[in-house]
Amino acid sequence: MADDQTPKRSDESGASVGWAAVGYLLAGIGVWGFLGALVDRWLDLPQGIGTVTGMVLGAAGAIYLIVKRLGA
Amino acid sequence: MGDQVLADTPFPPSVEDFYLPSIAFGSWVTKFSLLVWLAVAFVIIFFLVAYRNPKLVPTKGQWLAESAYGFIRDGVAKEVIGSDGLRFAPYLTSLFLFIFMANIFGVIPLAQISPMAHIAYPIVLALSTYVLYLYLGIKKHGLGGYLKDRLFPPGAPWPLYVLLTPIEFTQYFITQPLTLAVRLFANMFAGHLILLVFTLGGFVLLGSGNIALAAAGFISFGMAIVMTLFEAIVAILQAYVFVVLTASYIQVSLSDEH
Repeated sequence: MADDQTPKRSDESGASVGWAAVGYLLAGIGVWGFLGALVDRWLDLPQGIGTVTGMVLGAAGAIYLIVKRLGA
Repeated sequence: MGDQVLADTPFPPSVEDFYLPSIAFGSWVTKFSLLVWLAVAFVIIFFLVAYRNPKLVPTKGQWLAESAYGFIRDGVAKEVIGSDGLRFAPYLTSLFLFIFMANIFGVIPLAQISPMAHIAYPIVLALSTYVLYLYLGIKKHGLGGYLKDRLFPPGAPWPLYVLLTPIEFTQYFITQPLTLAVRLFANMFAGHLILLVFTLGGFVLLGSGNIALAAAGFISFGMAIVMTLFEAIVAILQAYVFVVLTASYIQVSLSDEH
């Protein structure tokens, strides 16, 4: 396991990767939830459907980015 | 007597307890500014004295300074940034020691509050990290190259950028500096509040005139002691986390994604 990693990855501190992942989730859900809320208000959607769609999309995007940027 | 103690104890603690009275010059000199000044003076004097007359067999002070510097240089600068990180080791070490000193004031008698419990101080520190990693990224890749690296993760199919670019933008330019400041601030703020609750609460319980509540007051004081030790650990941990994250942001700015 240890020798198939690039040196940069294995050198990276676990704590900072953890914080970066949390940051991505926060940013993803936050920014797309906010954009979704704006769509809600713009189109007068019921039940905050835009907000929840935005949050789910944002979470998906964040997880994608975590895999892309932080994954081994 | 019990009523007297009760009346004199400002309980429950509130946010007001974090706005300390002015010492001089209007609101420009408070306990916070004095403590920050002390922390800066400590870091400067500590290294000046420790390295003034370096010996091959180090004196106690020199050994302490070399351990602190070696710990950050090897454990953070080299480990997180890589071989390129050596030039940031002096900055990271002074940052670490400064934040640690400022934090540990929270449990030192007479000081008993950390300047970092006031959001302004962590904001300034986070801003310097923010400016530093933006500057390094732009210097290394150019403004366009840096933005392209950060906002358009390579290897993603292009329609996904509609979804991903706002997230990347929020992450690098808003969430990262914001959480850096808030994490340090919230830890020190909450720590001070916890100590206030248990210490002042102990006095209130003791003065309640009820034997069972007075006994609970002693437990409250015991908790205050335990939490003081806990706060000392938090002080060093948060200083370390701040420095590791600063190093990690620098590493990202300097890295070649392609």
